[in-house]
Parts: sequence; structure tokens; C-alpha cells
Amino acid sequence: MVNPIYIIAVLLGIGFILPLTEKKLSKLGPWVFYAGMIFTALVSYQWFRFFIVSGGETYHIFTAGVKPPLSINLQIGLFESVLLFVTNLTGLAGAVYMTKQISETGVRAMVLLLLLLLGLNGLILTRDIFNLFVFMEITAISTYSLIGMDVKSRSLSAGFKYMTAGGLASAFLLLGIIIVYSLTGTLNLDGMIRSAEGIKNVKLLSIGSMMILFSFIIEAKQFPANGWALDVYEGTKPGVAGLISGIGTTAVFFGFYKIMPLFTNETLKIVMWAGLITFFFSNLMGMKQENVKRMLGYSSVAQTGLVISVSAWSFMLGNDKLIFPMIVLPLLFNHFFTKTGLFWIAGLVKKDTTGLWGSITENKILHGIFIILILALSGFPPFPGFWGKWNLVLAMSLDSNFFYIWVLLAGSLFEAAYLLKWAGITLKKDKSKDILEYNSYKMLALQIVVLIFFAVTVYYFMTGNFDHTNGGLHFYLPFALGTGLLLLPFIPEKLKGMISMSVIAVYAFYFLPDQNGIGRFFNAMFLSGGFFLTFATLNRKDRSRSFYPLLMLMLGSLIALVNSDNILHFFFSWEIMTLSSYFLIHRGKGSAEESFRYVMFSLAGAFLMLLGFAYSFPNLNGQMSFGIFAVPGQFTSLSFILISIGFLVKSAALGLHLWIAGSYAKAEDDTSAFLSALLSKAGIFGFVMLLLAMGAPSAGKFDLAYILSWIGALTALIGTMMAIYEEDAKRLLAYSSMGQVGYIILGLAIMSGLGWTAALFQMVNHFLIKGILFLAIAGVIYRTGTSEMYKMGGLIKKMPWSFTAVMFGIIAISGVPPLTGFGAKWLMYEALIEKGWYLQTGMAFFASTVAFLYCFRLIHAIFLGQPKTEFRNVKEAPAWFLIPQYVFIMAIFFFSIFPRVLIDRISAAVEPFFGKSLTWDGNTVISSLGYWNATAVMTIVGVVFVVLAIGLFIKLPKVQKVKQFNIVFAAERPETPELTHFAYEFFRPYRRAMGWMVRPYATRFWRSVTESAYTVSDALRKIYTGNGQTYIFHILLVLVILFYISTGVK
Amino acid sequence: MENFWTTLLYAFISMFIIFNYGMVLGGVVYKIIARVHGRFGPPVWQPYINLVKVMGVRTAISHGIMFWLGPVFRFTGGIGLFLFMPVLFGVPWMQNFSFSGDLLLVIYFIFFGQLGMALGAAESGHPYSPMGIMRGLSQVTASEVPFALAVIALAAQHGTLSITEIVAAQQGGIANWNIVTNPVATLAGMMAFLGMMMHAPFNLHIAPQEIPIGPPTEYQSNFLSYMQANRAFFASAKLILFMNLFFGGATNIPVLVGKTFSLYMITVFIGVVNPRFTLENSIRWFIRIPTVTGIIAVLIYTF
Repeated sequence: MVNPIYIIAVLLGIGFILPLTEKKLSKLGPWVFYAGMIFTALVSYQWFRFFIVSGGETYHIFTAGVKPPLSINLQIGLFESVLLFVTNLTGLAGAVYMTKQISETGVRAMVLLLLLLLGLNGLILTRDIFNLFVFMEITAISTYSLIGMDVKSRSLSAGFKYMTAGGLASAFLLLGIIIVYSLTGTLNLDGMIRSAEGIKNVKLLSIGSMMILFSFIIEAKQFPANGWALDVYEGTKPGVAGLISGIGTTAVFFGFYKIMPLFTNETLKIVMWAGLITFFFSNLMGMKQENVKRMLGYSSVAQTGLVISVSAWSFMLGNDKLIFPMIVLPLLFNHFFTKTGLFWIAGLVKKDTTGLWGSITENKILHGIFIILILALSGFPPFPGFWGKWNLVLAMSLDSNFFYIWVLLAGSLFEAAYLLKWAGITLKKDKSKDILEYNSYKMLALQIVVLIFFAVTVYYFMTGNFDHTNGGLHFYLPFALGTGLLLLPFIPEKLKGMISMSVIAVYAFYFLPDQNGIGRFFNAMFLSGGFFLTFATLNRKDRSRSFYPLLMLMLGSLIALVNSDNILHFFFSWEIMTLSSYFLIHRGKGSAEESFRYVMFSLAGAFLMLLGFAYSFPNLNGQMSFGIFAVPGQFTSLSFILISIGFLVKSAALGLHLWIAGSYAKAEDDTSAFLSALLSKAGIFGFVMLLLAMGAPSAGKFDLAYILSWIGALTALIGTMMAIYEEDAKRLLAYSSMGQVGYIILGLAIMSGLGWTAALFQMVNHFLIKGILFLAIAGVIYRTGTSEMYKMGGLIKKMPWSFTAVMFGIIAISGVPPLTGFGAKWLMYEALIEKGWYLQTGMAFFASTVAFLYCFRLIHAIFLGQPKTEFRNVKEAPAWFLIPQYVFIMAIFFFSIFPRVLIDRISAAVEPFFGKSLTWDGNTVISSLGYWNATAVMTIVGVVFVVLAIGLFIKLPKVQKVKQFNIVFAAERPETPELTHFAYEFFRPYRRAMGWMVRPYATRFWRSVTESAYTVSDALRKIYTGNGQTYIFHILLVLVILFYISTGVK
Repeated sequence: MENFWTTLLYAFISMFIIFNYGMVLGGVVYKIIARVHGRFGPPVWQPYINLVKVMGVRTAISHGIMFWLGPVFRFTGGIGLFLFMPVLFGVPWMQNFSFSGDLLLVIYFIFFGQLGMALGAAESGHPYSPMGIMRGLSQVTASEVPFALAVIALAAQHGTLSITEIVAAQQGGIANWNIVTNPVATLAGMMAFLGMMMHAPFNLHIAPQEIPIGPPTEYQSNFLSYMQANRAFFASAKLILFMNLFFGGATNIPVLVGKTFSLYMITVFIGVVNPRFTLENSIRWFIRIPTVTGIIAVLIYTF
């Protein structure tokens, strides 16, 4: 083992030698420099291995061979070795990144980098507080100089601001050290901590620790005393900014982390809240930011604030040994790698404005890295940030600190907002070419950092509190499928589709037979739906690297969601599902805004769900099973409400539906079918899980299930109402989907055997119908190139198969006997009346009659009426689309004639929870109120229909067939089919009478919410004027406030 | 249904009766309207003459398969609706196939013919056809609201959705009829009834005499004969439904005729002295007083 002191010695040594030998050994210089860097990395790797693999014990190094307090001592333990290793490796990568700069500036840059690294290593290793101060100064000086090396007014002024703030921080630190030293008589940290407890002059000690706190607050860039830091990030070259944000912040943080035990609980509390406030406000202000580096600066400041806040809290709890690896380290690593990576990517792009980053897609690898880093930074699974936040939320809930979780999640939402918006821009190709400044050294450095980050991610994924034995397969499945297909970009698209289908089939074959209960319906639906809808994607002609991986990731996460057995599995799969569907929607043309809205709603919903989990989590003393919901706790109803909102967002319930029309409409046509037929059921599954675990609690006087029933009924009505006024077929179907899912929610809210049978029957029905309708429309759009219904017309002659499919679809969806839709309606009304919810029944009934309007409109405007000249030669939709439609139609007919097959199975699954609700007499199903014999209905209708049709055929043997445009009305012959097709604004009179129901209250509300958030963000960030004096004023202001808070205002 | 063939035979008998009843009823209405207008009016058997006439028309034009099937859908809807309903209480040969389903089946089956007809007429390519359909469908959605609420109130009152049981509960004199025991629901139901019977003021969508609009103008010959025959079934079936729901049902044919005729006359009398509503007017009307009445009817049983 190489003593880590040699790291310091070697870095210092080379730092001295290089300038001295600059002239004589100019060619050797860089070699020596890189050798030194590699040496430090290797030594730290050795220690890293020693602690990780061999589980070595903490090692102390005493300089000058004497023990403290006489000597300065260093310490290397598990955490130090980990930090040391990533710091030195990233430092090396940084040196590689800056190769060009180094060769241009020569020795100066090398020396500064060496010094920076030296300072950082020292900060991590030392256990001597004065020594810590010295290393901090070294770090600071080398950083100013690195910033100022780029001789531009912006960098120079940034460097100067840094120097001023850093000077203040150092001054306070030194003062604090002097005071504490005078009291404890030692500079050794461990000694100080030990003797601090017995000190009698508490006042002086608290002044000392306050001085250190002041320094800490400035150095850690706490809000609002951090304007200088933002200018630094913005003004510095990305290579250096990446190092400052990544390794710089980490080492400085760790330096202070070591001092934290000196703080009293009151001081720690201040640090904890200051950090959280910084996290919240920095992210809020970041939302309005468009300069890439400054935006990253905001994020950097925010993340640092969070890490510090959590550390302070861990010392308050006295639980730092556990919290550090479980929460602090993953958060820190997540910040460290993503920020370094993103800054370095910014160095490869010529443009500083986020809006101009569209062409980064030119370099696929760079773009891929960029997206991954953004996702990691936004806290999505499976990256370390996710685990950190997850553990933090749960730990905070055990500490009953719910306010903290609210603020934390709000801040995270803001952060995700600006990061995903930025990512969204790059996902759309734009015309601005040539924005990349390709440099192979920079790429190499970036790849090194990303590789380490991958290793860290895999580590956290494998150890991240995951039960790998029980149902583990489901959790690896989405990733295995997704990455598997991603790694096969060279095989043809059709083959990818077929591979996907066969994987689904094999999985279903081995997995489904062992299933039982309600989960089985969801599994069967997702698997069969996944299989047949994927069939339609085989029509794709364009090659795409991401489509099938994303699709499989989404389907896999749905399966994983259904089979999750605790809240972690559930939330994990939920996030993956949100993410994969977001990217799928984003693939559609012109979908940037809509998919962004979708992901923001989903994410906000997911965060509320997480909050709901947190409120219930303490119920079973830290177990993650769904059992926590069954135990009555203090916050049961609040928890229920919050989780429900998460599910309601996914189900597009009224008020939370803003995303649905746009994202369904703008997604690619075959993808929309997946979204509506399958993805919309995720929220329903959530409700099934929640209601089974929690029942339906009541909040005060209100029965929450009753409230849920109204939400469901109103969603059904208003969704349907909105559908009838749409001109775009896909938007129409999207709102129809919203309404239909509203019924399902209504059924579940009944909380009776009949209600749940109705809901699940309706769910299967809706799955089949929306599969048919969206695919049929996809076929039509594929041929005509438009989704505006009034532009089409008369296509029945060209696309008879699609027409027939749509016809069966609308008969089934409208609930007209004899198809399955009636079964769903029958069960629903019987259940509602049985429950005594008459008004909801009336509303559901109203909704179902209004549904006729859009059903007719859909089929008439597209297939009936007059054909347009431009579509004279369109062909029938491709068989890829038609085959799954007809498979679904066969299923609908089967369930229409033999609904017992389905109803029996649903009842059996529901019975254990609610008891028996239906009896059978032959083919007649009997509820407590009425009866229905589907087989008889189908037979009677079928026979009458056939007899009448034959009768007409016999009586009208010679009917004259005319062409579509061969019509006369009011003694006039129309001349242009375009003017003869009545389809645009079809229900205008209805709108005049009933339009008041669809006034966009929700849209207005959410628009005002987002606008106020942006306005606040914009107003707040104006405090950062860019003037150094203002910044100093901020710092002083914060210090005064801190002083009053910590001494108590008297 | 011990014996399927017996049931079938009974169904044919009841269909025969109801068809003729429906036709004559139509003729009587022509007569009444004429008399109110101060004309002599056609004979009561005029609908038969009309039917024979259209069947003999040689011009038969089809715009496509859906157009061809439209009247078949429509007629199936009318006959089916009738067949799913028990006609006379306690009379085995007038029960039709009511074992197939309860009140909900009957209500939803009303839409079967309408939807099929709408699809057929829309294929004619005439811009006026979808316009008429749009008007018809729009009005139906509005008039169904009070009707649904009235039905829900009845279901809540009697604890069943079976038509036979609802009729059974009303036996034993006028005091047991739902119009007496549940007047609010009956009021809501009867207001909806006005909209469903296609008489003024709610007949904008079948106004072929004045403006050439709606499906009936596009069909000729046997297509039209199906639609006319259907009207006999459809109207009678709806009358029987309302009689069963609110007016105690019927145990023999004279009572059936008496009650349904009186019911029909309500809409005819209101229609004959009223002008025609525009679509917006009629929708607004249904959404206001009848719906509020229906909500009150339902609220009575909620609390």
C-alpha cells in the first residue's frame, strides 16, 4: 500500500518541478504531469480496493512521526478512499479534457490543476482543522487562477467575485478556528470534537462555531449568498466549471462535513433548512434560465444545498454513519458525475443557449450521454440520485419531517422541469447545423466520467434496497429488453419487432399460467395487448434506434408494476413507465410541448404519490410492503388522497387531464394505441392496489370513495363532452379514452363486488375497443396523411375493412347491445343503483348517450359522406394494422356472446375481497336488481337482423347502385364533393346549447399556475445583478440573519 | 322458456297484433292532426296504403352496403325493442323474450336502430342526412337525461330493474301506479317521453315535409317500407314501455289499447298545438325543467 501522503507529496513535487524545468524539459513536462495524475489515481484506487474488497480498517497517518496534537494527521477510511478515488480519476479525466488548453498555456495550467487536485485530496484526507483551512486556501487560489486563465472580462470578473467571497469565507473560518482552538487546545478534529463537550464557556464556543458556520454558508453557496457562484459557473470555461462543480464541490463539502460534529443541534438545524431552502429556490430560479452554464450552475448550487442539508440532519439525528452511505453518497455522486459530464458536454457545444441545442443529435453518442445525464440529474431511476432521494424521503418520514419532503419534492419538480425542457429541445432535430466543436480528448474524458458513473449506477441498482430473490425477474425484464434492443441497432426494424413479440409471447407462456387474482387480468391485458399492438408496429418503414427499446421498456415496466410487491418496486416501475412513455410520445411530430406537459403532470403526480407513501411509511416501522396502507395511521386519509392524485393524473381525471389529448394526438399513430389501450390502465391498477390495501378511508365527514366516484362520473361526462367537439380524430379518441377511464374509476369507487366486476369488465372492454379504434385511425392516417376528420370523408369504399372495424368499435364503445359495451354498462348501472348512488348513475348515463355523438362523428366524417378528390386513390390500410384489429374484434364478439367466460373470472378474482355479487341461471346473469342474458340477446338480434336482411334482398333484387357523388338534393346537383361533406364543426348547435360544460377552467387554472411559477422564478433571479458589491451585500445580509436566528432575537 | 317454439309462436302473435295496432294508431293521429288543422284528413287505414305504395315503387337506389343495411338495422332495432319487453302483465303469451334482459337492456336497445340508421343514411352522401342525424342524436342525448333519472328513481323505489317486477308492484288499483306513488319521477319521465316520441315541439330532426332533411328523404321503395313498418313497432314499443313504467302496465288488450292510446294522445295534443323548437331550444329545455325534476326524483331516494 502506498501511503496516501505520497499523493500530496507527488502532486506538490511535480507542481514545483514543472515551472523550474520549464525551459530545459519542455517536451517532458506534460508526460510528467500526466504521470503524476495517473499515479494519484492509481494510489487512490489501491486504497479504494483495500476498503471495498478487503474491508480494511480505517487507517491513520501521522506526519513527522508524532501523534496529534503535535503532528498533523490524515485519515483514510472507506468513505475517504471512495471520494479520493473518484476525485483523482475525475481529475485525470479533467486533465485529459483540457489537453488542448494545457498545450496552449503550458506549465501554468498544469501547475494549477496539480494544485487544485492537491488541495482537494488534502481536504478529503486531513483531520486537522488548520490544515483543512490551508487546503481550502490552496483549492481556492488554484481555482481563481484557473478561472482567470481564460483572459476574458467575464471570467476575470467571475474569478474576482470568487476571490472576494472566498476571502470572506476564509476569514471567518480562520476566526472560528482560532476561537475553538483557544477553548479546546487542539487543532485535531477528533480531539476538538471530544473536548468540545466539556467546555464551560459555551458562549465563546458558540461564537466560534458560528464563525465556522458563516464560512461554511458562503463556501457552500447557500441561497441567496451565492450570486458569485452562479457567475463563476457561467463565466468559466466548461472544463474548469465541470471540475469546480464536481470534484471541487465534493471535496469542499467533505471538508466541512468533518467539521459538522462540532456544531450544536441548533446550528445543524440552521444548516439543514438553509440547505433545503437553497435547493428549493435555486431550482425555482433555474426554471427561467436559458443559458446552459448558468442553468447548470443553479442546479449545482441546488444539489450542493441538498447534500449539505441532509448531512446536517444526519448529525442531528446522530445517525450519520448510516445516512452517509445510504443518502448522502448517492446524492453526492449523482451530482458529481452528472454535473461534471454536463459541463463538459457544454464545452463541446458552441452555443450557450438551451434553445439552440437541437443539433447535438448529430453526434449520437454525445446525445445519448447527454440524455442519460439529464435523466440522472432529474432523479429518475435507476440512477443513484433516485436511490438517494427515495431513501431520504422514507427516512424523513420516519423522522416525521413531512414539510421537508414537500419542499424537497417541489424543488425536484422545478429541477426536472428545466432539465427535461432542455432535453426535449435536443430530441427534436432543428436546422441549425454545425454547433458541435468536436474534440476527441474531450470526448474521451467525458466517456471516462460516464463509465465511472455507470459503474456507480450499477452498484446502487444492485444494492439499492432491492429484493432480488422475490419477483426480481420482473424488474430486470424492462431493462434487459430495452437495452438488449438498444444494443442491436443494426438489425432490421421488422426483426426487432418480431423479437419483441416473441419475448412477450414466451414470457406470457411461462408466466401467466401461475398467476391468479386481479393482477392476472392486468398481466393478461398488458401481455396480450403488447403482443398484438406490437404487430401493428411491424408496418414501420423508418429505422429507429430508440423505438423498440422504449416500447419494450414501457411494456416491461407495466408488467413490473403489476407484479411489484412493495412500494419501492411500485414506484420504481412507475417512474420507468413514465419516462419510457414520455420518450415514446416525444417521438411524434411536433410533440415537444405536449410530451413535456405529459411528463410534468406525470412527475408531479408521481411525487405526490411518493409523499403519500411517505405519510404511510412509518405505520409498519420502516417496512416497505403494501401492508403499511392496511395499518391505520395518523395520516391515512391524507396518504390516500395524495396517492390517489398520482393515479388520477395517469388516468387523466377531470382537472388533471390537460396532457391527454395533446400527447395521444401527437404521439406516433401506432404508439397512441399503446397509450390508450394499455398505459391508461396503469392508474387503474394503482387504484386497485391502493383500495385493496387501504379500503376507502374517510377524511372527516367525507367518504373518500364517494368523492372518488364523483371524480369518476364527472371525468366520464366531461371527457365525453370534450370529445364531441374535436376535429382531430386522435384528439377525439383521447378524450373518449379519458371518459371511458372515468367509468372505470367510478366502478372501483363503488367498493362492492358488482362495482369492481363492472370496472374490470369495462377495463377489458376499453382495452379492446381503443386498440381497434386507434389502430384503425392509424391506418387511415397512414394512407391519407391527415388526422383532421373533415378533410376526409367517404372512405368506406376505399377502406371497407377499416370501416367495419371502426363500426364494431363504436357499437361496442357506445354500449349498444348486443356487443360487450352493453355488458359493461349493465354491470355499472346495476352496481351504482345497488350502492344507492343515483345521481352518479344519472351522470354516467348522460355521458354514455353523449358518447353516441362522437361515435357517429368519428365514423361519419371519415368513412361516410362524400369522398374528397385528393383521396380518390387511397388504398385500404396495411394488413399490419388490420390483423390486430380483427383479433380484437373477434375477442369482442366472443365476450359478447359468452360474457360469462370473462365475468366469472372477474367475479372469482374480486370475490375474496367483496363476497359474491352475481349468480347465474344458465346464460342469464342475475344481480340483486336485474338480469341479462347476453347469448339470448345476441341470438334474437342476430336472427331478426338476418331475416330482415334476407327479406330486403328478396324484395329488392334490382336495386340500382350509384356512385358516391351521384346525388341530388332540393333539385340541385352539387358540383364539388369538398363542399358537400358536412363534417366541420358538426355539433355546433349542440355546442351552443351545452358548450358551457366544456369551458376550459382547468386549462386556465394550470396556465396560471405555471405562469406564476415562471414569474416568481424570473423575479427572484433578478436579485443576482452580476454586481460584486450586491453579492457581498447578500452575503452580509445572510450572515446578519443567521446571527439573529442562531442567537435568538431578543 | 320451457318450450322455445311456443315462445316463438307467442312472439309472432304479439308482433302481429302490435304491428297492426301501431299502423292504426298512426292513421288515427293523421286524422286528429287534420281535424285540428280544420281538414277532413285521410282514412285511418292510410298507413297501410302508404306502406303498400312504397313497396310498389320501382325506383330503388343504393349508395352502398351500409346504406342498404341502414333500414335493416332500424327495423331490427324496432322489433328487437318490442321483443325484449313484456307486453301484458300475467299473460304468458304476451311476455315475448323479456327473459333476455331487464330495463337497462330495453333502454339501450333503443339506440341500436338509431345508430344503424344513422350510419346507413350517412352513406347516402347527402349533406342533409348527417344534419338530420346530428339533430336527432343531439336531442336524444338531452331527452335521455330526465328519462334515465326517472328510471333510476323507479329502480330505487322498487329495488329492481326488472320491468315485470316493476309492473307487478303497481297492480291493485290506480293508487299503486307509479304516477301516484312516484309522481316526480313520472313527471320527469313523461317530459322525456315528449322528446322521444318525435312530435312537435321536438321533431326538428324528422321534418321532411318542410325542409328536405333527414334520413327519410333519402330512402325509397322497400327501404322506406321497412322504416315505416318499424315506426309502428317502435312507437308502440315505447308506449308500452312508458305504460309499464308509470301507469301500472296492462293485464289485457283493451286496457293496453286504452292506456297506450291515451299516452300517445298526450304527445299528439301537445305537438299539434305547438310550433317546432330549434335544436338549441329543445336541448336547453330538456336540460332545465325535466332534468331538475329528474334530479329531485332521484334525490328523494338518495336521502
